[in-house]
Amino acid sequence: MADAAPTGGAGLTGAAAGLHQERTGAAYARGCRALLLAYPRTYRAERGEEILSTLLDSAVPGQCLPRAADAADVVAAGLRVRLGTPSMAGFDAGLAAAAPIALALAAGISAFAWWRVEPVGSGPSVAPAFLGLFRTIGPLAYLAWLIAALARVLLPVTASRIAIGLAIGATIALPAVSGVTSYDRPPLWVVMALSVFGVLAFAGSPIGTRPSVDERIGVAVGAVGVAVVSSALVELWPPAGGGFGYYYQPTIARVGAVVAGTVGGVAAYALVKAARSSDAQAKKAAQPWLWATALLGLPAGWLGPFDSAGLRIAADSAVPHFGRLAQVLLATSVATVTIAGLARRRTSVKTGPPPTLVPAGAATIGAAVGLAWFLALGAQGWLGFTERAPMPAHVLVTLCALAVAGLCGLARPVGARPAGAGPVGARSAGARSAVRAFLVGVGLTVPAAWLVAAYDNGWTVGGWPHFAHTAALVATLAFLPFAVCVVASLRRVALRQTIGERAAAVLMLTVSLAWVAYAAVPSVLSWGPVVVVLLSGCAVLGITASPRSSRGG
Amino acid sequence: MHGYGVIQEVIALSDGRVRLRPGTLYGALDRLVEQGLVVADREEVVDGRLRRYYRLTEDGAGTLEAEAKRLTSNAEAAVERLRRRSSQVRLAHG
Repeated sequence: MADAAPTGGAGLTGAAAGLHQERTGAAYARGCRALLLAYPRTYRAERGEEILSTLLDSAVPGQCLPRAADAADVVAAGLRVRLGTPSMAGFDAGLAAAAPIALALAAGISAFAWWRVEPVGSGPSVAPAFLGLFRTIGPLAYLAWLIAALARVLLPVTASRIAIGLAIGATIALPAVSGVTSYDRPPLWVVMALSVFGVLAFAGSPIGTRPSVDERIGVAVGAVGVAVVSSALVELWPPAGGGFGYYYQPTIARVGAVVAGTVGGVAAYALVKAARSSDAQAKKAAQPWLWATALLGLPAGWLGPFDSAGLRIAADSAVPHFGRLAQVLLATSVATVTIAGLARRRTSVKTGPPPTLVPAGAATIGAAVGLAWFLALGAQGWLGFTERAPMPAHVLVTLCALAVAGLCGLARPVGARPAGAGPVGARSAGARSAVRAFLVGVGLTVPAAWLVAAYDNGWTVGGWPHFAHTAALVATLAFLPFAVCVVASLRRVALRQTIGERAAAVLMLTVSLAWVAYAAVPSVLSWGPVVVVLLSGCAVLGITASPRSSRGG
Repeated sequence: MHGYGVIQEVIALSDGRVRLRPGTLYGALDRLVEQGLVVADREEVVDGRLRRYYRLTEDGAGTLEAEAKRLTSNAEAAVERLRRRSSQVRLAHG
């Protein structure tokens, strides 16, 4: 198609104007085409020219680049198509519903931590006091969150978005600031949870919206409520060390309980709305709250465990390790499966062939290869480890389980129609997709394994003495590829297919869930908020899958 | 109506207060097509640019009518409340 230019070149005449017009038009069209890369290739093939035409029609004379707002909008829409969320009813409304709750939670967590945990004298401290008053530099970010909440209560959305953005920046900067100073920082789980709550609050408050008075008051009341209830909970349910003062127990566990309770409340509200809805139109009213539950469940699951008694150090035993990292990875996996369940594509626009198990299988094999490579070299005393050591048995079990789950995705059962059967180009595209997924699996796993090893050794880059302990932590990364396998196999099971294809999907699902059970169920007492997030996720997916819901479209 | 036409129409209907961005527009069109409320009607190429025209389905027209009635009812209720308030204010001021 010709890239017809936006007309323009004011002040120029004749050939010069024509040349100017041609150049600006070509530059504008190039910019638009670059933006369309945000969409998946199959979507571009279906809709690309149409969207490009609309962008070209929207140009003003002389414009040589797309407007920033249009560019951001197209890129965001393209990414949402890639994530499978563009056509899912209720996503935008769910994000908008989650935004004030997320901000209230972030501000409440901040207020509680500042008020009850940070003051020196409230417990043991190993680093110098920040400003002579606080145990860590956390109050820098906590202040920003309180200001952001106040801005949401009092100011227009544009101003509150700036405040939320600054609070996210301040939170993300904490580890770096701690690294270059002698001051301590809050635990990473707190930093991560605050950051993601902030992203939800930011993304769910688009410019142009006008929060109601109720919503503004709700943010203030919610923030105060989270801080006060968390504080009361520590008194009623004191941590093992007794009272306030130990950052991990009061902050993560007790605030985690309050945050998980909030997510459970949102899920219950969605359930009530769905249960009371008798027709399709009313059923849609529950959809935003299902999304809000799933989105808030991700960071909420990280704030645990409630009780460390169930944590298991597996350095020398045959069972997998289940520590705080595993708890966070489990929470992430549960939330990911819930979000993926809600985000199933139902668009009429073609976004590609039906999902196959191949990318998930190849990525899982890649993860297994990456883990095996890292741990095999580590067992030889390389990659920063200081001693040779045998590979723990539970790590070998994990690697084997990953390989079996991955092979289920790559196996082509007898009688199954090969992906893209027929055209050679389609088959080679399938092979390219598998190779790409494999490389992504390896490429993400190896650096992640190295990061976990560094984390387990006090963020050092070498001189790691305890291979068995570190290997146990690194192996817990397997939660993530197994979560991918669960999502892919559940989607595949739902499709019409041959018995062989169904068997492969069921086997992949079984192996994945069996490993998760092997690694996590013995430590169920330390799942903390994950239990609430899991129950909420099951409720969300149950409502979504119910016949009444599907009638609602 | 094609995509750019929808953008122009929304600007005109809202007196310039609302300007649909292209990514948002096509996301919304995907949802409406998926729900069977609009359907792609025809395509044509104008000045080298592809234009795909959409039209309301019967379901879409019905949904739009129901939504318009609901909004009209809300607006009428608000106008009625304002009318009563004005009457009370007039009575209060003698």
